[in-house]
Amino acid sequence: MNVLSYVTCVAVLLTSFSSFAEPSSEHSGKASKHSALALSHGVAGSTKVASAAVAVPLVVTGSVALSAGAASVELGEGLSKVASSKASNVNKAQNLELEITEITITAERSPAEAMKKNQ
Amino acid sequence: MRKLIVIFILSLITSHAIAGSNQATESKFKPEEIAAFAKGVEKYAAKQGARAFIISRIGQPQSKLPKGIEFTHTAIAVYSEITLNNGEKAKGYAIHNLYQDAKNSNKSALITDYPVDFFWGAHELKAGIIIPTPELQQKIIDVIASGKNKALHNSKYSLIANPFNNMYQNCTEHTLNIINAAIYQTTDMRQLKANTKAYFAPQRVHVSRFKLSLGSVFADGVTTKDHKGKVKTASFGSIAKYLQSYQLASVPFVFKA
Repeated sequence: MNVLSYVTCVAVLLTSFSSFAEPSSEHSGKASKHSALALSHGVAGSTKVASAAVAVPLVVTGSVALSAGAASVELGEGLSKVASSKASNVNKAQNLELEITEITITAERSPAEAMKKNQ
Repeated sequence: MRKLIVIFILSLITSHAIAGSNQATESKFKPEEIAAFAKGVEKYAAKQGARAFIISRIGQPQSKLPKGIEFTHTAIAVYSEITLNNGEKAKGYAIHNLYQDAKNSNKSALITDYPVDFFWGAHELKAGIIIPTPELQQKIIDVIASGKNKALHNSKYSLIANPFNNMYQNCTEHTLNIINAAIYQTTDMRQLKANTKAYFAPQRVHVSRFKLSLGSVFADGVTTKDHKGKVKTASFGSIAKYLQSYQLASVPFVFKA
């Protein structure tokens, strides 16, 4: 195989692979996202950017949101109702509009939080 | 001379750092655009009453993706009570991902992030959404809340992992494992893979096997070792078809800015 054919082959390979891969990321840029969000003007509908510490899945039964996995008789009954409910109750649960915070939440720490962690 | 050309080409290949599902740190959109879009996705899902749903994003121009593949990363969003670092509590979606390790492309980790993080590196502000039935949503939540999703994780990463075995895993296969663990109420991987083989039709990857095999020699995180014959992998579209065919989800929705 001559040199030009070889180069062409590998160039085609390279192009094929980059077609369905996402760009690689570096940890060094991580701290900029929180700052960029906090500094940006007019973050739509949000006056606040906050870092998350932990997230617990919520189960919504009727009009009450309960933490999934919490040990209580009332929660157990609620969960079993959701799991085995009949079609009409299922539809009600599905159509219940859920509350969403206006805060922009990110997994990243703010620069101040990152400094505390690194001390 | 030929050796010099090979070295030059290899240096080009490694500099392109072939990667699959990643936590993005750079964005082509303004922060406020991403924040508004991410909040829009959350509110759309919340309006449907979705307590758990499959969510996807696109990290490359659609024109560059192989035929049949519309999204490049898939995960599960779960409606949650989120405790912020200042102690405040808020309600929203936490997203449970399998991300490729930034320093070792052959490995992955399970990472929880939030919609603005998820869409930070998107090429287009476009979200794929599949909302399972309420019963399946509850079972998916149980798998994640109980930590069983971790038992379903295989950290050996391949961008084009075969969902019919557990040799390697990508984000979409892990998502499918969680769904099937919820359906079949088991984390027994042999059973899950047998059921996947019986009922799930993966997406054919329309790139020649020769290219994939040769490319895997140079690129980390890509292998064909787990495939026999045509290369097929799990995708957002194939998961949507799977759930719809068994009446376990409604028609998928594409949310755009």
